[in-house]
Amino acid sequence: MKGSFRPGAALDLKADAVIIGSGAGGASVADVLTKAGLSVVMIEEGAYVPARQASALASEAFAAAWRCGGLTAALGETPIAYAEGRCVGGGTEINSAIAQRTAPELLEYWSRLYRIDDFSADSLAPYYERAENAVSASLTPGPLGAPTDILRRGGEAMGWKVSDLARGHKDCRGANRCSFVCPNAAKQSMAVTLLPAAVQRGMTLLAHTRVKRLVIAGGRVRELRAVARDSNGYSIPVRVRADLVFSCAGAIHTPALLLRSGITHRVGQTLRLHPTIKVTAQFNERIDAHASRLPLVAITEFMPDQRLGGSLFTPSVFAISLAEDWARRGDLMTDWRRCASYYAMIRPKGIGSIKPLPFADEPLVRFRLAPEDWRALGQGLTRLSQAMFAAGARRVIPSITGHAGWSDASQAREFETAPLPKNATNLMTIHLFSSCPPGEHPDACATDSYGRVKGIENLIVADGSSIPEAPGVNPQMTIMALAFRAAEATLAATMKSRANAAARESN
Amino acid sequence: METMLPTWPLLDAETREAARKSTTNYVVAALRRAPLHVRLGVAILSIMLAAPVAILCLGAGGPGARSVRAERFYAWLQTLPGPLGSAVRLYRSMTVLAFFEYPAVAALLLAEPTEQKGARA
Repeated sequence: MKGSFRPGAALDLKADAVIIGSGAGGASVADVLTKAGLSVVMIEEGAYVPARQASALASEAFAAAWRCGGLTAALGETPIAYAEGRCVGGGTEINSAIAQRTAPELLEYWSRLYRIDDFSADSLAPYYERAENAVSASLTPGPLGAPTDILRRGGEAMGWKVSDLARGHKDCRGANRCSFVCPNAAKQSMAVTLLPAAVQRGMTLLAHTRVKRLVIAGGRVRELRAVARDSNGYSIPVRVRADLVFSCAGAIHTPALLLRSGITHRVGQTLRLHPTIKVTAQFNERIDAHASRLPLVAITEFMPDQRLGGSLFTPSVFAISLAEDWARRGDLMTDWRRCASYYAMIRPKGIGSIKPLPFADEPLVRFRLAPEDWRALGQGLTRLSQAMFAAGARRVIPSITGHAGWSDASQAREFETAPLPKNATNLMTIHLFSSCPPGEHPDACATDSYGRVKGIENLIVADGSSIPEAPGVNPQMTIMALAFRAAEATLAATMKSRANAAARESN
Repeated sequence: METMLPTWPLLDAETREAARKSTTNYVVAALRRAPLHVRLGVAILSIMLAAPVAILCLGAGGPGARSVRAERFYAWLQTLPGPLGSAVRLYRSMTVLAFFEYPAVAALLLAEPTEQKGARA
């Protein structure tokens, strides 16, 4: 894909459809609509970061492709740091491209709870297949490196199920820069797959352009007002009028936009995420985790409620994890080659909210963990630490400020029953969803079963906001599957209403 | 920023000063990108922290002793509930990220141990 896609002058555009956001949801919608021959405008707040310009430095990559350079957090009793992509391709440019489907029992439970039409694993299977094909989801061949071997060894020694993780990739060379925009375009992100194809089919992609609000009248979005930044940083007004408006700005910014535009029914009050606690595992032998791919197996014995996996590791990213208690842990930097980072991720019962703030681009995000979430985090941390010691770790340090770490597996049972210290536990997440839940339940859902916002006939949500609750797996495949489904349903409804109108005219 | 700069790997004075400048520039730029409510919070807390840190740095002893005092202060702050500890952690995260990615520091980190010994000597 060539070009900067940065507008240079004021724009007043008309199209069949406008898509807000270019991540997994937006690109999937674009794929459906452009294949059907619709004229499409896509608006993306971030920049286009081509593979050849991807920096090897985390500090530069965060600034180029991460929202707010990565300095975002859901506030609450314990803040939860979260990461979102803000570039052409969205989160798919900075995630690990792990391709997993949501468990069928969860889909069926959500279908009943939210009264979502046609939401079984069988109904969604064709959409999941389309998503997996789009990103060439497959296992990574060859040796995967010490961090993967450690997790596999630890899980198997505990007698737990360990699964290889399929990823969206082609010819991955193991640059270990999945979170920094893949320098080899081997990761099959949206900027490598669906977006270039949609642009080729005539889609207009506007980068560096932020949607301010939707103008709504008579139960329809009449126009979209946005502001672009030219190469000198000056503001340029952008206005788009379209028959269909798809909001695919993610689980934080879709509800923020809807709320700014006066749409409030069940919007932004049910944010879910995967609270994640990390550990540093120190070994006697060199791991050199920076020279390997991030772990491509996960301990899946306890899924969907808990998953144990491994994190990206570079010396500087490792230093960030030590920053939570530098006085006690800074010395570990001298032994960074013998360290690796792993995590325990849970499906929470807690719920969060999104509230736009006046004069600010970023909304206030809050999340409150439920008591059972704390217990699950303690349990996940215990299990992960047991696996690390079973794999040969000589020390395991949980992400708890002031904690000295454990030197054997019996010590690491500390939080099996005892509560985690809420004021000292450091949590993070890269998975956010559920802020505009779909379904026909009048009191629980912001959209209908196919993402159409209630009361607004031409506004459809198609991103992580539409996943009813935390799925317990990496959400990209589910986001794409639901976006394909929403776009196809919208297209079918539009064709039907056009046919009806034509029939009425001919009569 | 000086009080948060890691002491390892050892750098000569000129390189350390260049690393400090580069790190400071990064931290300032990174804070500009932060959400408005985070920026405001950090600004208020930074003003609150500036005086005690300045007093600690004015005390007796060389840079090493000052650094130890500041480190103890930061460690204590991080044990406190609420935003003070979070602000210290935020500064520290950005500082160590930029410091360990400074080319001369990164080169020392990635050098094999024998090479590193030679470089330090």
